[in-house]
Amino acid sequence: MNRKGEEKIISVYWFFILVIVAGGILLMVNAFYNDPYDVREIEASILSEKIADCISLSGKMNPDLISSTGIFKEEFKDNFLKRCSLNFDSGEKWTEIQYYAEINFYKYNYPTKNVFNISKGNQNWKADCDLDSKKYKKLVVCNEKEFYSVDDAGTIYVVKILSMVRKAEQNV
Amino acid sequence: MNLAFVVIIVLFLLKQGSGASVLENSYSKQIALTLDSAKPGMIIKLNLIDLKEVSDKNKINFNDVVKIENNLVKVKLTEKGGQTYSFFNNVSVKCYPDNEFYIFTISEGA
Repeated sequence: MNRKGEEKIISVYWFFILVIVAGGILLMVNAFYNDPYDVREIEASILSEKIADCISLSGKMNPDLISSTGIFKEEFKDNFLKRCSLNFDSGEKWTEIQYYAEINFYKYNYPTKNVFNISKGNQNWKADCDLDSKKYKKLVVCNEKEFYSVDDAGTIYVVKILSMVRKAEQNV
Repeated sequence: MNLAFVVIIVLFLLKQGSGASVLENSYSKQIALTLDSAKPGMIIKLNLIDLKEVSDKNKINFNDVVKIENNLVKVKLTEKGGQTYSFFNNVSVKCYPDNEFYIFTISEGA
């Protein structure tokens, strides 16, 4: 028997296996670390929470938004970003605004009738919210939030918040 | 040879995980998200020892690692690198290092 010849063949074969394993690990690690962290889902969720805190204080409608007689104030709508301490400017890197926020108010007894609406930011990508965000990662990430709030007169409102974050180039 | 192979692979994986660009990317976003949730009057203390280790290795002054300009967070761990991420919370933020920590003081925005 030629044991030395057999060992040589085995070591060449083993070396070949090691190269394949190392190459596989290299490719997987590169694929993993070259993919940036996608934080848009959390970012959109924080945006919704922040808007909710601004609209409703401990379950009561913000008195700056609605009068004691139940009339929504246009001034709040016009200065929504300032009123809610938001800044949708994403720096020089972006030519377009990368955020969008929309708040719809419905009376509890008439859940289909929109009584007031506020929207700010770039609404061009709003239609993309209906698409599967897992499949279309390069599009926007949307977050929807819904809660109840009561005004000074005791009227209950359903508040629906839609928040959108794009920033695809930095997250995908 | 097998042992050497395993050691090389483990060292490679560790080096990849603590790479400057990976840390810049993740920390700039984490800091931006932290600032998004912050409220005026808060003082936030973040342990950034991972960044300090890499910046020391790359001879970057730890004072220059994290910068806040308007509503942009910039994390820089190499001379030519750096990652920027914006936050939407309209607050004024000042930050400074304290050993391996960074202190962020939040006040009302303009």
